[in-house]
This record gives sequence, structure tokens and C-alpha cells, in this order.
Amino acid sequence: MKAFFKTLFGDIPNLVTVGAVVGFGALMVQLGETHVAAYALPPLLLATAAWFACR
Amino acid sequence: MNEWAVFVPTFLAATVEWVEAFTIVLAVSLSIGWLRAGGAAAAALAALALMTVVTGGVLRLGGGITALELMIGVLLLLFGVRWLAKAMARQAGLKALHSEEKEFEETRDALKKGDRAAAWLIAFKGVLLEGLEVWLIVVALGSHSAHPLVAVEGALAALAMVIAAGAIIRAPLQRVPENTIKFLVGAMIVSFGTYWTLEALGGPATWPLGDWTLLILFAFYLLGGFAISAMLRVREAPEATR
Repeated sequence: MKAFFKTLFGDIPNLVTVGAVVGFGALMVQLGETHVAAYALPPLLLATAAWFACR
Repeated sequence: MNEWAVFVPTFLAATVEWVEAFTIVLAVSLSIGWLRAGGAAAAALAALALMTVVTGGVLRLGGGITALELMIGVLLLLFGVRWLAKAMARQAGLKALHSEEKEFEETRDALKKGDRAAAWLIAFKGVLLEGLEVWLIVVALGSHSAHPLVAVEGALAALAMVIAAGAIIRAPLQRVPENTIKFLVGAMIVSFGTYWTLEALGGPATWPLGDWTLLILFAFYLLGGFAISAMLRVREAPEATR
């Protein structure tokens, strides 16, 4: 079961960082700055992947 | 959405996972024979097929399209970021490339300690766990597509190809460019995840270019990923020579 959940959601750092990026996107949309979210999310997600690659 | 946009990532992701599953089944078959090892693999595939039918059906029936899009988008991000990170780490030399030969030897070592039932279970669990990632991609891409069966066809085509290649070679499939495929699939999955997550949050006007945005996102993640890998490789190289 543990392997099942890890395959689906990854580990805690994965959940927290991706959750934070999505949360930032949701906040920008709520503030009416959807275009900011559209430009910011891809670099943030790439930076997240780079950070995981270095871990 | 274009059917190829669903078929290609599913086919590529499934190829990587089925190759890994094949290595495990091959190692087990040397202990308990092809019939039993194949039976374990078939049982795992049947479980995955059942999961795909049930979850795919539930996802298409229940909830609004926006909630579904958000859920699938976030799941793809959680999954895709890990694939992209792993591919970047391997490309940069920070992590060893996945070796089917090593996987094969490790499974053979594990089999020495157990009995026939344990060997059957290793084959079943191996195919099930590798197949979970295929299931996730099939359900995620299929449930958002007008042609959900295209995703299933992509996974089945990859399975047929790996079984055919495995039957001919009868050895671990080492010549599959696994990390390149992982890079491509990681970039594709994160692109879909980004697109659907933000579209669900901000509405259809979020991406003025519509589905074409997926190509731009894919190019961004792929080229950005390669550039960062190259930078990490350069940064690590002087440290390694010290």
C-alpha cells in the first residue's frame, strides 16, 4: 500500500513543493492575475524538478 | 485534443515501465519457468486492467469537469515532476543510469532466498508496481480525452512491442534509450499537468493559444530540463576531479 501511494503522490517534499506551486497559482488566479500564474508556474515547476534532481 | 497527443506519451511511458517489468519477469522465469512467471504477469495485468476500467469509469461519471481537470492536473504534476527530475539527475550524471542488467541480477539474487511462491509474488508485484505508473497515465490522459481508448491502445501497443522484442531477444532489453524516453515523457506529463491545473483554476481563457500551448510548454520543459542538466554536469565535474 505504501508503494501504491508513493507511486501516486511521491514523498512528502514532492507533495509540499508541488502543492505550494499550485497554491501560488490558485492565489494569483484569485487575485485576478491569471496571466502571472501562466508565466510563473512553468519556471517554478522546472525549478522544483531541478531541486529534486540535485537532492 | 489530438489523439496523437494522448497516444504518444502513453506509449512512451508504458514502454519504459513494461521494459522494467519484463526484466523482473524474465529473471523470475529462470527460477519457476515461463508459464508460472507469465501467469504472475498476466494476473498483475488483469488487476491493472480492472483498476483502469473502474477508476476510468468513476472519473468520467462523477464530479464536474473542472474538479476532474484540477485533480488530474495536480496528479500529473506530482508524477511528472518526479520523472523529469530523475531524467535530469541521470542526464547530469548525479544519478546512475537505470541498468536492466543490474535489475536482472538483483532480482535473481532476491530469488535465491525464497521459494516458488515467493518467486511468483516477485513477478506479480514487479509488474503491478511498474504498471501502476502506466495506469495513472492511461486514466489521467484517457479520462480527459474525447477518445479514452486511445490511451489504452498506447499502453497495449507498448506492451505488445516489449513482449515481442523480449520473446525474440530473451534477455534484458538494455538498448532501449530509457533516460531519453523518460525525459520526453516527463516533459509531456508536466506540460499536461500545468495546462489542466491552471485551466481548471482560471478558466478556458487562461491559455489564449488553446491546445497549442501544450507544445510551447513541452518545448520549455524539455529544453529547460536539458539546459539545467548541462549546467549541473558542468558544476559537478570540477568537484569530481578534486
